[in-house]
Amino acid sequence: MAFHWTAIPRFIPQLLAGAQLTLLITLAAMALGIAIGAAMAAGRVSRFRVLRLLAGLYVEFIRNTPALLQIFILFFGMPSLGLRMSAVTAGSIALGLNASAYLAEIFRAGLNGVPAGSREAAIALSFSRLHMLAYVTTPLAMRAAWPAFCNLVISILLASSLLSAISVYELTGITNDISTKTFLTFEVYSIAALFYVALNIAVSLLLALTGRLLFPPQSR
Amino acid sequence: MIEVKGVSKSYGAHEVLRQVSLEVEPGQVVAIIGPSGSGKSTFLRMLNGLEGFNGGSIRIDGHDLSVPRELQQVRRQVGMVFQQFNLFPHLTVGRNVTIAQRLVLKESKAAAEKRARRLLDRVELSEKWGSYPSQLSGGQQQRVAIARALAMEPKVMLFDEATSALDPELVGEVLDVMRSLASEGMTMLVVTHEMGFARNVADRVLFMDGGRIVADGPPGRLLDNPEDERLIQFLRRIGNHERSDPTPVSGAQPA
Repeated sequence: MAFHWTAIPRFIPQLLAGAQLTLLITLAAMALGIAIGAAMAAGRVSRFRVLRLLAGLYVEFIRNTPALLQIFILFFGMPSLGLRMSAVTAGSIALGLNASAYLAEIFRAGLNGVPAGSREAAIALSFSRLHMLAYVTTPLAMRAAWPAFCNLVISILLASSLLSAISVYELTGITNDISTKTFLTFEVYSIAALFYVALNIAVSLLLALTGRLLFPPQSR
Repeated sequence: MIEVKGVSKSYGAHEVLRQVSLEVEPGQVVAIIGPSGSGKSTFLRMLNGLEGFNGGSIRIDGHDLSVPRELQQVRRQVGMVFQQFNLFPHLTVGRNVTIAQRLVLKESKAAAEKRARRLLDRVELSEKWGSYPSQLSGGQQQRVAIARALAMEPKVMLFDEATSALDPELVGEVLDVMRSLASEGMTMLVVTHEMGFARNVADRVLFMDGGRIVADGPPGRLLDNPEDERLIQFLRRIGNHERSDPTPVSGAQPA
């Protein structure tokens, strides 16, 4: 069996472009996920039963269906409702919705992690509800949710490879393409795997650094 | 200053407080003692609206606690110190003491910091300005918590077992601050197990049991010549043997 590693370097620019798109999709999906996830977390701890129920249904529905199916619904299903989107857009939204359900749970756990004593102190000091949310609840909930949040970013980055199934040329998609055109199957997939590892290490380091800046260890 | 009339509180069928009434004059230091589950913490927490009440009325400095808008007024005038300190863990000592001044009293940054530095100086922690609560001992955290409450310039201070979570050797430093506040004429309600404090600092001692104020009077009479049978038993249980405590700071030793 002969490998042709020397043929790989000329595909590096394409793979880099794919990696860039992977990062962009992850970023877009996380942004959407954070917005919807925060709303759903608020719904799940709302004092209104209907909101709790609706948010709960949303979270359970998303978490109990495959991400790939969600991508198919957005890309293949939505046009029949008159909503036509590019594969990248549909895929990013699908991933964002997927992330939002997990983020809703992560944020809710974060809210539960806010020490009751801190809230009582804020009440006793006559904080308004808005001030308590902005200066006590949110920062403490974010601090509690941070490790789980970082794990989810990595999960979403990996799940973005599913978008190759709707012909998005992110890292996995572009690798498929190179592979079918060149038959350098083992070589290109191995290199793509290394790219994923490198991406994840870089993202993890960035998140760890951000975490240290936002939540200094002595403030725990 | 504080007027409580016939206040009750129950969780379901369980009555925590039954028809409690109390009047406290400005400058009075009231120690509230009693067995756990007697309702003394619940009663204290009611005085700044951390607990609701079912019947009766509470007025503090003329403000009616059952009116939501007045409740906010009351909270500004009533400082609270908790058993577990409840400092904001994500904020430095300086920010802990300035944040409510900035947000609630709308003080300028300079004015808030000036007052915070003066108060931290007073509790002998001015060098801890930039530290986080987790870097302080329990006694230091509690002194910061007292400074934080004082920063609102309250008319009344409530202490909910402020020394119960502290290691024995750290109790004294917190009691010293409380004693100095009392000597300056602060109106104080102190739920405590420190009989030394009740005896030597308080003007008045309340003994609560079963959700009622069972005995109420000056510490000398109440602690040294108790008449109520439940109070006698309570004092015996917590080991109130030595009649005049030579080291009031450390308080009564558990039997």
